[in-house]
Amino acid sequence: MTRRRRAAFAVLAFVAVWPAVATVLQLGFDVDPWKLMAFGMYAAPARRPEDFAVTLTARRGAAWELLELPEETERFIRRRYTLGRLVSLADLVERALESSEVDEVRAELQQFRLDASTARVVLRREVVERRR
Amino acid sequence: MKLKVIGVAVVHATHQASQLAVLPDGGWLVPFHLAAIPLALFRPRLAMAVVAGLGAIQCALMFPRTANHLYLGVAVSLLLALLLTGDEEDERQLKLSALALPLIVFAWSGVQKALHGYWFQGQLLAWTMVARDDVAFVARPMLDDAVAKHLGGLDRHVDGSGPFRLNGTWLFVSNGIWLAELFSPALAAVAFIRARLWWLLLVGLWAIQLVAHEWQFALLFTNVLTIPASQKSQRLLRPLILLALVVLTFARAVNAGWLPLVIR
Repeated sequence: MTRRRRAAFAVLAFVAVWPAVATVLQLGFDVDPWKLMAFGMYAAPARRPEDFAVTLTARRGAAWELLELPEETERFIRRRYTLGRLVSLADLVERALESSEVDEVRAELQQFRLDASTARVVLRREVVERRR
Repeated sequence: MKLKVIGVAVVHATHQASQLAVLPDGGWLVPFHLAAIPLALFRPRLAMAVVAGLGAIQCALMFPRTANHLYLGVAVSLLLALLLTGDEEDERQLKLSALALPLIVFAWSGVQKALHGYWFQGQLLAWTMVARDDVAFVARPMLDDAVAKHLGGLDRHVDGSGPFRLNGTWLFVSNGIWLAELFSPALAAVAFIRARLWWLLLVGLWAIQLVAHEWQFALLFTNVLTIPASQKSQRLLRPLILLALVVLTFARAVNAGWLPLVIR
């Protein structure tokens, strides 16, 4: 077998093996099965940015107030709905804490997902809090 | 032989260029992709190497939302750049690769469907009929009134909405799809089927598109699957793929809302 043919075989072998790695990422970090060359198109409902919502609240003294979402929120959602927990909500909270004069920041991520076993929509919530 | 070599490379270069119509930050790649198309006429392997590099840039620009057909486009470009020599042994390996690539994708697609569990009770089909207008448009005439009424009352953005399930024939179809994908590589084990595998896979691929409308993916693999076909079939199919790519690109460029099934 020539070097070219070996290289072509390697390309094919990579395409065959890589989805196993992507599958581990799906199971471990909730990575979107449609993406990262896992070939899980239509294996689960396609994720859309409108299925996700982030709210940021901050505490000054004893009072809680709603924070305006920072510019990077859109980028966070775009990356989060593809890469799952590989993109941490805590990073968004820490940046909000750094950029404002508050004592505590609380972020809530809500996402609508279809539960495979009940076949019903569930609203998943993830909350992260950080104090100064 | 020469015609065949030119055909697959030109069509693939055109396919890769046509993807730019939906790539938000890829405008500057257009002249390079367009230059690769005539280059594919004279230096197909060089053109495929160029297209592989451009495809890798497309993947990087879209990351992490890179569609699978973009990654696969790079893989196909590399295979063509390496094996499109006209040498008999290279051609044999290219034909095998052209069958293996779709089988790998179908098999993993079946694995993923089994793993995530949205096909055992038709949940994904029901969800897609609710969430996507283009799928509802095709599926609705095939639904009985009770199921259509049930699905019409579901909302993907309401906590507890459901159940997104189908029954009867749809349940059979749902489970048949993931099982067929999962076990599709077994088809290659039977010599009689292996000789006809390219068009069997082509039929399967386009049967899926009746509902899924993943045109870019389908046209990429249609070009790949015609590699093991006879010269006559290739001469017939490649112009059709080119025509479809032109229609697809034009519809996207003018944002043809009157062609909702085309502009996905």
